[in-house]
Amino acid sequence: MSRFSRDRRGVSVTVGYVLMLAVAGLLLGVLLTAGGGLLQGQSEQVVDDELTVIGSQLAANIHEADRLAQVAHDDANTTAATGSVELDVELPQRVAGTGYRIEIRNGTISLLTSNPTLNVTVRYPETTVPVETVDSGGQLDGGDLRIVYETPPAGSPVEAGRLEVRG
Amino acid sequence: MADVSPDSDSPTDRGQLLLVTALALAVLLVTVALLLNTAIFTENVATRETTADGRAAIELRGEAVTAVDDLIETENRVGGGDPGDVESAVDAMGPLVDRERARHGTIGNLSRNGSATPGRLLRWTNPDTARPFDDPGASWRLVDSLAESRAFTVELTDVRSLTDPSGTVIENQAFGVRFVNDTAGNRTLYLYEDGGRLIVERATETTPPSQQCAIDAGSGTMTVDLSGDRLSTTETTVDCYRGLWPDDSPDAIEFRNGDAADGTFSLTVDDGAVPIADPDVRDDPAVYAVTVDISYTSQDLAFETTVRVAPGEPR
Repeated sequence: MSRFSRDRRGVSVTVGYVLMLAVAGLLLGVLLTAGGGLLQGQSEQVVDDELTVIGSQLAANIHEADRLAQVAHDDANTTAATGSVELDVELPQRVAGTGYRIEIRNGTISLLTSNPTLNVTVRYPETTVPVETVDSGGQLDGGDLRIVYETPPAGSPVEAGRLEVRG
Repeated sequence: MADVSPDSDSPTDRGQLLLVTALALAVLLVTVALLLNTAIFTENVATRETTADGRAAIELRGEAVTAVDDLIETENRVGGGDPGDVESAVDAMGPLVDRERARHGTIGNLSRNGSATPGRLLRWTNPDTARPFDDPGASWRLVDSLAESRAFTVELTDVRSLTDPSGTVIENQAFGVRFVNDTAGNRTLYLYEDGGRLIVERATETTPPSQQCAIDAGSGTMTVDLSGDRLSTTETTVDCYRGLWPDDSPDAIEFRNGDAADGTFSLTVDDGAVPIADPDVRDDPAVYAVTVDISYTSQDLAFETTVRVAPGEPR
């Protein structure tokens, strides 16, 4: 008993060890939590930026297709022949590792992701030829798109045509 | 001292926490690196030209139309206005366009769509010699039964001066070009000089003359491009913004008060039109129009259109 009471080694080592583990665990936990939060924030920022760029790319291509469609329409009205435009838009299928969906409505392109939950909108200049999406539910999967236009019957106003965006 | 040596009873239990955390941190850092990579790529893409080459397609169309335009003009001016010549030339142009576009890594195609449309080219008998517009009379009908007309220009070497004239004076004394329309009514353009400027005024059957356009007369010939809505001299050109050619296609064209101007004219009309039978007016066969198919295909764009080329046709 006296020998045990004199021996302080076990107590100090055990307590020290436990304390060390606790402090280290706390420290590492805080580090991981902070790192995770930072990652989440940065991830959202990167996805937001990339969706904005994708939206701008799509807007520029819609504008380009509209310009070509107007030329084809003007020509078709004097010849009664059919003109057409097919324009491929190369877009990534995933942004920062997550899929996204595209919705085009009323001069606005909406790009939506579910993880993280984001909705980025990009407006495009008003087109002479109306734009519509060919899909179910008004949304397209992210990835390569094709904008298709065919001139309406000769004599029709330019608004009678459609710029169809297909997935 | 506690035994922390590797050969103790449970040597593998030590450092697990550190190991797991280190792994977690490593994953975090790799993810951050990937995100950074994505961000850099995004910035890169954002500054790139990412639209399809629609500009090249429109350029091809424009160049093809200009070439066929020149072809028709040249044929009408020096070739006798034979539609067969224009058809052969357009057919020969197709492979050249194809070859030229191939140099740019794209496919371009130009082909004729049907036959060329014949027409008539009306001018003075001596087309380059200016003379008064008063023969066969002060006011006379140049062409009747018009369905289509284009490239109507009047080049004036001399035009009557009127100083601040009233509507009646203009109608009675100024040189005029009348576009007769049996349903929409007539429209007359009066041209006169006032204070060194060529003035163009427009009158209808119900409205008095009102100024549409003007240009400094200068010292040389004044060109009135009626179908192109432009006035020009050797020094300058003025766009009249659709103020000259009537909105409704005319059924006939007349000159009024022809003794008030000297000059030449040129007008291309459809084959069914009936020009005046007069020894001073020359009526030559001409090519009125030709229709061509133009297509442009690149890696990300396919553009097809059919264009009716009729140089100088009103807008």
